Amino acid sequence: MSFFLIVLTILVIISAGFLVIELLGFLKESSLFEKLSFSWGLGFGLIGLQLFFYHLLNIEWNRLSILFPWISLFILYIQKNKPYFPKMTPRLQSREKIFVTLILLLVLFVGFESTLRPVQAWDAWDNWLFRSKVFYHHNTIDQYYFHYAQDEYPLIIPLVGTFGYIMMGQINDRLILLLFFMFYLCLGGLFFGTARRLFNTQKALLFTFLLLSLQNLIRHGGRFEVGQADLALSYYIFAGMILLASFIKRKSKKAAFLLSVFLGISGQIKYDGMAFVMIVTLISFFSIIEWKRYRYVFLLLPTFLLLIPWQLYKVFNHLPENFLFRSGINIHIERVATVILFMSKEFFSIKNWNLLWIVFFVCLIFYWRRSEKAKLFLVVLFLQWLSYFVIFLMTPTDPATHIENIIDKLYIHLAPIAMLIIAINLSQFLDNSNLLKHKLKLS
Amino acid sequence: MFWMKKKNVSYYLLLILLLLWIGISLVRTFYNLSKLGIEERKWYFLTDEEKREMQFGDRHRFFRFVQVYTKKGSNILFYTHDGMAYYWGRYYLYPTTVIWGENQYVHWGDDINRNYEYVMIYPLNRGKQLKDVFFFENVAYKKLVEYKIGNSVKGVIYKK
Repeated sequence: MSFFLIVLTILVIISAGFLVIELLGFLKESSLFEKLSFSWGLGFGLIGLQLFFYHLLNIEWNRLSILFPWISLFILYIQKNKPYFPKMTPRLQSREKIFVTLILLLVLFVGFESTLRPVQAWDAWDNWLFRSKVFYHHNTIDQYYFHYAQDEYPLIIPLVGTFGYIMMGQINDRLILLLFFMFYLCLGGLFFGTARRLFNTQKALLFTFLLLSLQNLIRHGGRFEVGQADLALSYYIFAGMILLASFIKRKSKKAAFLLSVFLGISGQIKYDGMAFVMIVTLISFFSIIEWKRYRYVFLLLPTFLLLIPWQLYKVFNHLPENFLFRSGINIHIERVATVILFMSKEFFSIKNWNLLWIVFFVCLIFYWRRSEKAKLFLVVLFLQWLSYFVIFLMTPTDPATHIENIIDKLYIHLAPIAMLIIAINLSQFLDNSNLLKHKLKLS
Repeated sequence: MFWMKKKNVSYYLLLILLLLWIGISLVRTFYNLSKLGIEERKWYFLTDEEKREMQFGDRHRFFRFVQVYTKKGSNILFYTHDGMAYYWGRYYLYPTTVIWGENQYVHWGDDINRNYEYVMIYPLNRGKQLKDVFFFENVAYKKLVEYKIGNSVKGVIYKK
């Protein structure tokens, strides 16, 4: 029964996102596959925020009160649209079939592993699922919790965990992990959808397989560390990046609005996402200024409208300050060499990343002048990396230990963007190499 | 000519790296799948309770023991040198609140309720003499129960 209810929870989350996308006419050019992948993140964020606003408005959390708005949207949607069943008749070549099989095997493996054991990750019982448990127990956001746990972390992930418990009618910290596996699945979906627009199916499948087979992603999607916020943030950063690229390319208002909502959610997944929010907002802002379409600035407002309530909530309820800033902001310049050394070491961890980072740097060396398409992705990736670098210059703990403890998780945030940059470069390389072979044969 | 050489170097280097990467990914995918039939088999037919015991060992048994001997929703002062035991206990025992004895003034200052119903110590250092009465801020806590494995005492709970 609990398994059925957690699957139902997943369907509710995807449906919530899908209804908003369809009713507001977002992602018109995207395939159903891409829309569903975006729907997961949008639904997840909106339901988390819904529980937070219910708490602020003193509305009780129960299945009916939470599902009511979504059921209303669903009725509105079926009144406006006739249900349609897209024809799924993919014609795959034999190599493509092999990659599809490999990807499916990976997804099944990670999904199975995610619920094989009860929660075992430190991050979960120290933070994310601990809060889900506390809020479920009190059926609201308990104020004493913040003082008891000395915690001021954002609430979307724990609140969606609580939503899962409300749907199941009990705390089940094994099945709830399926929610985190969904980020693995939908990240793969988003990546394939994007790659499919840029390259042919075979290349898109190859690079999706290479992304989903990264050991660190597999572990956080279902095995030891069990994802929690880092894989989720990786998904949101990648989704935000795609929407930013789409906004800049098409100057589309709808892409800007959806991007802004995704940024508002990303900043409340984990604080590491705040740097990304700032970077992308600034890029969007300068692009708008350059285009002289000043009214577009209003489209960036949802980010702030979604972020400000939580910031005000922290102030009004005297929540403890983040441990990084408790003793003021101190940048230790003398740590630069140590931080660079320890942050760079992770790039060579084949155990975690296979050859992702090595190929990434080789691609940069040989192709950086010609990777026009990848420039935007490269800038964001570098600035996000720089934000982690600055944090390690500021951290009140020993930087080497701090880096070693969390660097693999931070690079998860960047991995899908790095993979897309590699895919763009290698795709050119594969095309050019065919041409080169041809020239060599002629000479 | 130099241009052609440079092209060839980058071509072969990237080709080798790409093939190597695909090879590693394939091997690891099948290695992971093979684990399902070998090392993961031991998890398949266990209950959640048995899985927790296998995962967290004696800590799991101790906190189940604490649940039996303490009132749900109480406030416990927990002395431990094992950080994992503290955080696991905090998660496990909620709605009972657990404050880390050694760090309580550094970590919480005056931000918490210090009216404790119980004091517990786990894991006990080997050879440590247990008192029958434990004092915290002039409040006496009497020994309620000892947690033993065989004849050896591994933990203790005191009650106000």
